Amino acid sequence: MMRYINHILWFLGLIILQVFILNNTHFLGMFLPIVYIYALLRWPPDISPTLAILFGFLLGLSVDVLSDTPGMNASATTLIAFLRYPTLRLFVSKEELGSRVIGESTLANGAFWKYTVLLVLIHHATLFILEDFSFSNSVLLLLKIPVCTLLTLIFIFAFERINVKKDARD
Amino acid sequence: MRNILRFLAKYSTILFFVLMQAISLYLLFNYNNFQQSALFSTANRLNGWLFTVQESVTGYFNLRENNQGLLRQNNDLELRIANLESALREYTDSTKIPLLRVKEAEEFSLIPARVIKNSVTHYRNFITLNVGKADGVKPEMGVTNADGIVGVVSLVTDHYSVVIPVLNRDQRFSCKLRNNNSTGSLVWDGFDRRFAFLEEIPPYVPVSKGDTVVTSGFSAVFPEGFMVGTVEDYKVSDDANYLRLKVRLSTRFDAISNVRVIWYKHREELKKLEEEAAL
Repeated sequence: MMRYINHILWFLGLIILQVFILNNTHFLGMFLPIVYIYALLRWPPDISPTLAILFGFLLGLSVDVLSDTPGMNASATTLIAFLRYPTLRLFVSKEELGSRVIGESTLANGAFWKYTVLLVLIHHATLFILEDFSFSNSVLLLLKIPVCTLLTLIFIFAFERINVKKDARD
Repeated sequence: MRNILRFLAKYSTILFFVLMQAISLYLLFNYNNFQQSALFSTANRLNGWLFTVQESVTGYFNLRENNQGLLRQNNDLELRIANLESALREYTDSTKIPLLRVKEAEEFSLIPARVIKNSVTHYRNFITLNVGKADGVKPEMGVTNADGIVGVVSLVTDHYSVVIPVLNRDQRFSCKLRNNNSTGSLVWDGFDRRFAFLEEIPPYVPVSKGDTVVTSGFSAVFPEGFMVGTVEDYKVSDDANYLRLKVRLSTRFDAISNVRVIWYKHREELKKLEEEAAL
């Protein structure tokens, strides 16, 4: 039960951080980090995939409702919730994965970062394509995806520093 | 029956994923009906409360700038009063009978409001205000601040309202050049929050950099003559039929906090008339 509480706290904390602080910041006027997906990235690997999808959907919808972007974040986050386990398996074998926490220190050979970069990229690409939709400004779109991904990864790197010691203890 | 159940069990994850995606995309593509649903917006009761709490902290951040804006506006207004009073004196002769009757009736009034939530990084930005039906706010009312126009009210709940600002790719505003009354429509391209574009200006209209753009008064949203911005640059559109003016917006959208909703006396009448004419 304790480990769920930890995940729920990250869920709430990241939404608050995203909506009330980061959404008000902007790097060069149009780029911003989208950090709330970190809660989904760390969601335990051995929990039913349906529950993970539901978790992703609720996470995205909460951000949507609080930033007047109905459906956009929900759709992108549901997608990566669905792709999360297959992506994880790309880099880590089933035996190695077990029921361990997903984190930098628990997955060998930088698997955590490969998994994170791939999912963040998919999430941001989906989100910005859905936002633009008409592809009217494809230059901006092509710029937004990598720059925002980079900003997000910087934040995830910082969050991992918080979690690394705790993961080693567990 | 057993086969169906087995099928559902086997593909439950994918089916559940498709279902959740469908809900998300339904919400996304019913975006234009968004005005009807306060539930999924920042104007619902819980979100409104959350953002009010946030605003009570962040509201202090831009105080210096806001004060300067208010001072500037105060100066302008005092100057205008002085000018108008001196003009009025000229029209009042020694017999103290005014030759010029000053119109008493108020054409419009302003409902003061505070911005509790704002965004500038999306293609479709929205602003949430701490006033709603209880304060007399209705959809399609115009919103301005001390510097210029902000946007138009789209969704109203009892105590909150959501505004579509100029910085929203889906919204157009009817504006004109102040010095020659040529009208066009103002639209944002989603790129730079300092600039919007005034389109559909005929190519023969003389334009120069620095010309003032104001609201046209052609819709019931804004009365005529509200400040929008100044012409930064202009070029002939690709099909050469119109001029496209790059307008430097006088409102700084990343630092707005005090705004006014415009209550327009003849608004209902005008809207009704337009609707009847359209039929």
